[in-house]
Amino acid sequence: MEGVEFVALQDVSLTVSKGEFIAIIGPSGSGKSTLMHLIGCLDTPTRGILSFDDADISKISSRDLARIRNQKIGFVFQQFNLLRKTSALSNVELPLIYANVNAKERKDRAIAMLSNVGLADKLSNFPSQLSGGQQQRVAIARALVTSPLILLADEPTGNLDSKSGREILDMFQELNQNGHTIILVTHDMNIAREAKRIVQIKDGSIVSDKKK
Amino acid sequence: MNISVYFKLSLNSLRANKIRSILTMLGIIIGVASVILLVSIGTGLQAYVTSQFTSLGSNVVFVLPGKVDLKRGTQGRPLTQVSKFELQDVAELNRIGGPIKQASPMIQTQGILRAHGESVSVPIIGVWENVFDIRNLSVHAGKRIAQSDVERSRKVIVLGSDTAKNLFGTEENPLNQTVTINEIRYTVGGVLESKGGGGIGANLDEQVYIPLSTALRQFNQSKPAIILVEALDQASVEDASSVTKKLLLRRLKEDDFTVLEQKELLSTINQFLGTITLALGGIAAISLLVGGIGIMNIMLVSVTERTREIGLRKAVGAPPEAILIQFLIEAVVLSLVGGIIGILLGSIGAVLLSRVIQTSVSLWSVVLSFSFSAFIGIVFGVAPAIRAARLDPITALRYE
Repeated sequence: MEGVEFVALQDVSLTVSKGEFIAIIGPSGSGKSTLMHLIGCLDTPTRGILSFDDADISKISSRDLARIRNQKIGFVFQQFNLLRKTSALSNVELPLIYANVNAKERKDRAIAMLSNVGLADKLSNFPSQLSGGQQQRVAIARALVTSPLILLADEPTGNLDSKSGREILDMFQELNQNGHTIILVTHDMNIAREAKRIVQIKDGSIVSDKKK
Repeated sequence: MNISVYFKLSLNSLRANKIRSILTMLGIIIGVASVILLVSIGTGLQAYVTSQFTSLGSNVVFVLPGKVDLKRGTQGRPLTQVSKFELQDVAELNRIGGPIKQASPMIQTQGILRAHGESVSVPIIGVWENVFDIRNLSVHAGKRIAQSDVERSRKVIVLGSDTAKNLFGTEENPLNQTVTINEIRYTVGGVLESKGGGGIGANLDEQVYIPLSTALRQFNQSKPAIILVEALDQASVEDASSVTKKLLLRRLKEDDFTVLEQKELLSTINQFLGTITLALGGIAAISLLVGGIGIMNIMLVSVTERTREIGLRKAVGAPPEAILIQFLIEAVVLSLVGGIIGILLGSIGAVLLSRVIQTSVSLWSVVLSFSFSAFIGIVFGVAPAIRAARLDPITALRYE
């Protein structure tokens, strides 16, 4: 594909406010991944303005992007993406290491966060010793341990059975009620309905934006 | 982030992936240890031969028949040439004095010795009595060949310690026993003190000595094949060699004989041994390469997993340099620890092996093998990190 210009998103304007629970929905290839990368500060737009927390981040360096990801965004992935040979506790501590938090505080905060997601008794378990639902809860604890402004979840229930999926979604509801901003990316309308606002993307443009 | 945090990250990662860490180190360990060990064998061989040579007596000048040029070889002429030396020449050399302490004629041939139904093939040397002084040979039991034995062509024989052991065992006393060479019976007059050393090259402890006159008759020769000339001391070796040459030229032609100093012989042999060391070094280099390929293999196999790991670290906010520093520390630690273990194992191996053959660990082999392995380890440890650190986090996370 090198040399061929491919436009993933065009004329997209989207504002997310604090405390929202928003679902971005669209079929694969619709550009929702690109939108998610932009929101997640994993990429910068070729044209246009991306502002985050009242600052324009359209043209900032990859180092500054990394800092924003570390401090202001929590990611939850479909594949969990935990470090395989590392305990649940160390997995949750990871973002704090890059945030320069000292060892003692790191451990305290990671333990507190794992307790919040109901895994206080699994601190030293490796991912392979946990169920899918438990692994995703470790991932959520990791996402929240830095107290980010938004929680960005990409198909968070895609690899889970319906019961575990339900638990994760309930957890998102609870987090939202406690004031967390949540952006949920999915292709599944049933999951999107959990959110208070649904943004539909198709062929690189927003085709609908409905609040409940 | 300060450096101790990076160290902690790296060490945690190495500990978490024990198998990968150990296999990588193994590649480095094998490479380094084998190079050190093999080169130590080569260098040891060189040192051994040198010491054997100097134990022959370093003040000795050899006079050989024919023209021998150590640098240019024999130039098509046969290596063994008919000797034109007369006993008269030796007598004159002994009379001349000056830088020459003494001279001794010799004839040497390989022959079969029998006793008690045992037989051994050994170098048989016909000598005068003074050869025992020139070559620092002392008897352990009995007497050496006396000049009166030479004058009367007595059939007495002095055995090297190994040959005595091989023919008579350790129990029996070989003195006054009979041994035969081509059906001719000799009486054992003495057994030599062991010169020591292992089984590489000519074993001095196998040689046996009979009176020169007896040997000439036994092997149907009329002239001694070699003349040993002992100089007064180390400093007069060159003088002794030129005096010898001048004296022999009065009767013989330039092409009839060659006067060789020990150091010339030694340098030729060392040249040859240098080639052996180089060959061993070559073999070692191959094992270094194999070790290196092992390291590459493991590093490359783990790229997929590591790329995902890097993607995740970047997604949760690791700045680019944090990834590189972590991977660099991992690679350096593996290379260092592996290298040090390799050096220790190679050296211990060399020390253990020195019970059998002489070995000597040389610094260049340590430095070379260590730096090569460390280079491979670091390059292939950091390469995936450099590549993955450039990918955007999501691509890295999905890397297959």
